[in-house]
Amino acid sequence: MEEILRLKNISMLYPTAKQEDFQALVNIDLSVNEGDFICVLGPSGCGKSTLLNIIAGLLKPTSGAAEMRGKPITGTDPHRGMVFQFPALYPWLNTRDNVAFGLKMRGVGKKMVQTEVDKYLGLVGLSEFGSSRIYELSGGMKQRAQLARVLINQPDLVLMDEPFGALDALTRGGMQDLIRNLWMQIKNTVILVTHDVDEALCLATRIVVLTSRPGHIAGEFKAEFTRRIASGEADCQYTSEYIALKKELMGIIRSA
Amino acid sequence: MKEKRFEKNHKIVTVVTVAVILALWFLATNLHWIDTRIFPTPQATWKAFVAVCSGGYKNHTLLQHLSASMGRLFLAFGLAAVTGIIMGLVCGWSAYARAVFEPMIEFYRPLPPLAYYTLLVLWMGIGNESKVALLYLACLPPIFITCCAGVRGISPLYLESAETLGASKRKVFVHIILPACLPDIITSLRTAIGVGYSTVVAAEMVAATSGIGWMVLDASNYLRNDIVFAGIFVMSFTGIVIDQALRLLEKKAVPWKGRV
Ligand SMILES: Nc1ncnc2c1ncn2[C@@H]1O[C@H](COP(=O)(O)OP(=O)(O)O)[C@@H](O)[C@H]1O
Ligand SMILES: [Mg+2]
Repeated sequence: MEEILRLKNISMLYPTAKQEDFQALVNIDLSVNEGDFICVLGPSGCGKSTLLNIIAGLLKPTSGAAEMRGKPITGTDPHRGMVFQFPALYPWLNTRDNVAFGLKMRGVGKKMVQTEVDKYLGLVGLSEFGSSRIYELSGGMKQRAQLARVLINQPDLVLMDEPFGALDALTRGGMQDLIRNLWMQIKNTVILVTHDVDEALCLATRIVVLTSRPGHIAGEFKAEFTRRIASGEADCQYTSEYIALKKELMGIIRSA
Repeated sequence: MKEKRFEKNHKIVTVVTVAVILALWFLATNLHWIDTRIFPTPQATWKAFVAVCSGGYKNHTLLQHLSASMGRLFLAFGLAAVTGIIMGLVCGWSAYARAVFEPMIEFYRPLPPLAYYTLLVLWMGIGNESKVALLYLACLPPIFITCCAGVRGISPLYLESAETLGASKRKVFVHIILPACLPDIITSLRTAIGVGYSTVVAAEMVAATSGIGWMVLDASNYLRNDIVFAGIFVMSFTGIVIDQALRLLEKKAVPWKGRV
């Protein structure tokens, strides 16, 4: 497996009103391979968004470096797509034009844009809502539209910042299945940040536990439940291995 | 459903209020509770309105007076809109541009326009130029300030998402900043035309030989209160029409306003 992303000893300090800066992340080392589905699991405030923003190139770490395929990350890049917790869809555009945004910005031809938009709207199940206004979409549909808007750029690395945090439990389950299926179909690399242990166990091939004060990696685990769920074994959430791993993860987070 | 009914009730209340005021006016003047030399009857006001419409007032019909005022107003407003929007958006975007333009505008913004009107008349004469310049200066600050604040209030998520999707800085300006500020732009235009409208009337009262404001002032010098009244009604209706037109534009241009 080839390495796609490497984080080298990353630390992040935020300036504060007080004398001392706030240490959000300390000594983060991580290597991500092509095709991985990484879930970064941690309580809120532990620095998950900070980490993701550094990988996206929206934030510069105080020290250390992030590299994608050996090249240092110095800014944003459409090859690294970002799915935000709150879908910042543009209300002045309809759903289609929101999804088309990235391709248009990069000067892709009109015809090509149309076929691609149709394809990705179909992938996320929004074919019939292309002409809808953003405020006419439900929370789950907005998040699907955002997903299509990011995936249409065909990013090699997809970053997701608690993408289902604002959704109800039923919608969330459907979205998790959608994300898993798309990942298996497109075969890209995903880093998803979450505070939900079950979400991490159901989606990840690798779980990275982040704990706070200051944010650091407290453990790493392999998981294969996502592939088992994909191959039809939805019940694997009730197996003893699943429960044992869940206990272990909860233990680390609680004791931190 | 419930809201629709309330809306209807509100409209009825408005209509009744206006009707009561008109009736009181009619009674008070026709029954001579007040002196009709000071306060004309509705009939006299209407007659004056018809007379200035057809016969005109001092060589110009009402329509000519009104279009003289509106011509000044819209020329200045158009210039202020174009420059104010561009300056405001750029200054919201760039702290350096803000450092240049903000002090200039903040310096004269608190002044009542008529305070520097005398200077403009001195420099540009009593004709149209000084009035257009005055109205331009009066319309500019609300547009500039609101657009500037609009840019600075844009959700960082819009900017960050556009950036991660591959939009260059220039494209972010055109495709994110501009449309995201559209609601603010239109609000600022509404404020500006309100300011400009009251300024045009006031300026014509200070120095002019045509225009609706001048007509009212001149008529009052001859104690023609019927014409003064008719003129004031015309001004008021024109103001309402302009504001309603901008509201309509707002509904058409930013249907998402208040729904995100
Ligand atoms: N711009 C900032 N300035 C100062 N402190 C910040 C800033 N952004 C985040 N923080 C702090 O850094 C910590 C980690 O934040 P964040 O990465 O958003 O955590 P998470 O996404 O895991 O909830 C939090 O304690 C937060 O208060
Ligand atoms: Mg977060």
